[in-house]
Amino acid sequence: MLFNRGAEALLGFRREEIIGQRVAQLYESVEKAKEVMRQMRKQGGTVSTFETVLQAKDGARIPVLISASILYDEKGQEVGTVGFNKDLRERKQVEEALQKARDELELRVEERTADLEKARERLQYLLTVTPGIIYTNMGSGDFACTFVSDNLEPIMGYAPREMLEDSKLWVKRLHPEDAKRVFGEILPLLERGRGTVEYRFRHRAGHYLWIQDTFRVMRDAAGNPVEIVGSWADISDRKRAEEELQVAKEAAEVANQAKSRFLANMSHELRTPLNAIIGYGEMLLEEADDLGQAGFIPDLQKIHAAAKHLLALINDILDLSKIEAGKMDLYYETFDVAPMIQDVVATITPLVKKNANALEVRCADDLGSMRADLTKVRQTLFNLLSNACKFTERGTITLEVTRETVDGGGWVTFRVRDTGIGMTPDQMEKLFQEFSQADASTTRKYGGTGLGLAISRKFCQLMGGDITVESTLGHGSTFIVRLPAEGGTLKTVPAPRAEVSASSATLPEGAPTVLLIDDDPAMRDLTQRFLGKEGFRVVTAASGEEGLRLAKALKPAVIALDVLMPGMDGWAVLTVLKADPDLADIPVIMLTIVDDKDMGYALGAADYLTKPIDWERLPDALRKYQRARPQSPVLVVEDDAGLREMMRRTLEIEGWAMIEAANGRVALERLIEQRPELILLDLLMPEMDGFQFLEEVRKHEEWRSIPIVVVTAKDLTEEDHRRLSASVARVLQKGTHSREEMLREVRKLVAARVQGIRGQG
Amino acid sequence: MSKILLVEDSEMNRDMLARRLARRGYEVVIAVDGAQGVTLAQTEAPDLILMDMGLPVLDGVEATRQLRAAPATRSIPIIALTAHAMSGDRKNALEAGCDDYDTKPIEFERLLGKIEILLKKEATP
Repeated sequence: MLFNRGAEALLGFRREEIIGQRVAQLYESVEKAKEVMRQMRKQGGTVSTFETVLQAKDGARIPVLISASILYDEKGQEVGTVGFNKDLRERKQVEEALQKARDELELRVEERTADLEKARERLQYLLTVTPGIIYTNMGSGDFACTFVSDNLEPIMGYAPREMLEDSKLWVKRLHPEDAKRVFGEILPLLERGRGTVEYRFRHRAGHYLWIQDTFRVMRDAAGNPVEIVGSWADISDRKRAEEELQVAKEAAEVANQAKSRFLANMSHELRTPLNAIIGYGEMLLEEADDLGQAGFIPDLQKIHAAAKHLLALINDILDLSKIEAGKMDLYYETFDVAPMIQDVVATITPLVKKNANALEVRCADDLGSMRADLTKVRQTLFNLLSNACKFTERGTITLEVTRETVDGGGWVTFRVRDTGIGMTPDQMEKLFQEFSQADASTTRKYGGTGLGLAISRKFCQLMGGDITVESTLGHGSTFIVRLPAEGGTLKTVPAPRAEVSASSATLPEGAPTVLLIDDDPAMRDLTQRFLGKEGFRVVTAASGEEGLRLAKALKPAVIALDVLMPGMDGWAVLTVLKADPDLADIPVIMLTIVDDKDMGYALGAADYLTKPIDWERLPDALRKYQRARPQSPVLVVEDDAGLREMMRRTLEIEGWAMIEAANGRVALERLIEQRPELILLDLLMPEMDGFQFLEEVRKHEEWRSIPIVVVTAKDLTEEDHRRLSASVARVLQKGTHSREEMLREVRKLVAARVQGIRGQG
Repeated sequence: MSKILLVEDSEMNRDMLARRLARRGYEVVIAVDGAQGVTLAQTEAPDLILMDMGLPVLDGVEATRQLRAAPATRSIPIIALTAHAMSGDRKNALEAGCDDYDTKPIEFERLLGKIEILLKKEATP
């Protein structure tokens, strides 16, 4: 055997060790050697790149590719072989690594696939169990669906396939009454990127479902909207419940009114026969006296007294039902307090003597006159005094009347004190409730309807005051009636007392007073400190009623008025202010939380009209802005073509030329082309709405002077807004950023008002 | 002796008031509805009229307006008799031209006071 150097290196044998040895011993096994030989013989004495394994001197297995030929002699006898080997170890390793990697990869893919499948299953499950239908759509046009979850069918009756195949299905099945509104709402929401709308959608079976549609705009990396992802939730049950609740509430209100009406009628009917009993009783008394039949007199007196008592009860019930029905009218008049007290004392004296009580009356010297409903004040005092007489024996009843000034407002206080049986805290709590005396046994012992106190208190509250009570069991009670000295025409229950800022006490006499009416204590505190520092005397009121009372009493230079308050809201307060000749001139600044409609004013709208448009009012509104010729046209910005046409006709009759735009963007283009005399502006429009348009206009100096009349859709608060435009100096946004602005406005208005007053004087 | 025209549709009220006024020495003329009240006011020329507000045919407010519109009856004092329940009546009565009002049920002494004041006023100028 011959052996070259390559073989030496490969197998680790030296040539001299190998030459002459059998070839077979170089193989891993004899079998491997025989296999090579067999292969060669089979293939005509040669193998090429046959894979086999050799064995090195150190015993290592060496995979090789062997190419070899059998050597033959002349006779064709095999004499040997010649060949060479290619070391396969490296390739083998790569192959093995590759195989291993492939195996690993496959395993990983399997795992990932399983994960994905799990995730898909989870999503699929979520899509079916979630109460809402999940959808995606194109985000424009008919909002054709590109995906919809399987629960579409159980909820809306359509198979997902039907929804995906019919691009107009969603639009077609919208309730016709809701469609326009829904599109009006959706478009601005798409601008904002997300939102919720509610509408009726027709189920495949024909009935309508209330759907809450919550969606979000998905954008690509460049920020362009790609699609909408959203959910449809069936809120029919909720809507139904809301409607039922509303109906039930209305029914309850109607029933309550019917009850009050019944009570009023009933009381009226009861009085007619009672009239006769009292009247004829009195006649018989007179006649018995005339005829000298004195024996009848005590019995006739009893009949007469019982009838009078019955009448008093009926009157109480009637009063109460009128108060409850909101029909109790007040008759304000100005009267001197002292004579009224004398009058009441004269009436009560017989009752005082009945239980051997003494009555002490203490009137302050400065009582003067007050403005209130005299009858009701008298009735209240009489009620309190007669109660005191009833529950006190051989004691002292004190009536004390004082006048005090709180925050510039005058109050008259009546205190009725007795030394009678007194009350427990528990009894005091129930005291002012209708039909409830301190306890049931009281009724048996002392009589009465238990209505007197409740009625008296309501009277006082109607007049802007209240009744409170202090009492200790066994040591008597004190009832305190507080009434405004100058009662107005308000019929609402007053809220907490006014506060005067501590800092304002140190202000100079002539500091202008700002009256702040706001129910939010934090806002009151902030504004008060802020304005106080600026040299204004700030008086605050926590409710509209209190605010009006203070406005009357103080005649402030400026009133800052919150819009959203419980009870009497800002608009209602404003109406009363503007209706009162004494107060109408005081400038009012509305403080409001920013919302869309208010933003219109804040941005400087000149006027407001409401939809549906009052076509008779429109020309009047326009005339305000009509100037001498030559005249420019009116720009109408309105997305409803029909409405634009109506406007054109109306304007033409009035001699105006009109240019039109279907949305804010087009309107801006028109503005560049030609400057209009006036702009009529719709607020809700596609592409660019009225608010954005206003913002754009206000950015351009040259356009700012063009009057803009906003034409808005009619809703609950529009009437308020229309009123506002006629009577409010300016609407400001509430919030920290506008404080500087507010201060500026207050200063300006104060200056204008001071000048106005000097001008008059 | 002063003559009082009582316009009242309720028989019992009418009877009661008429008898009690007569006992106090007034001459009482009676009308049972607003129209009759207006006619009698012209023919009988009473010194004072007591006018119920809730009358048939012609109600008290309307009857008062007509009396105030006619020269012959313009200056006759009228006291409206209003129901307690109907507070609007008072306002309407005074606006229609009544000189005073009294609420039912009538407290006779109080009503007499009002009658006397108005009659005295009539007599002084």
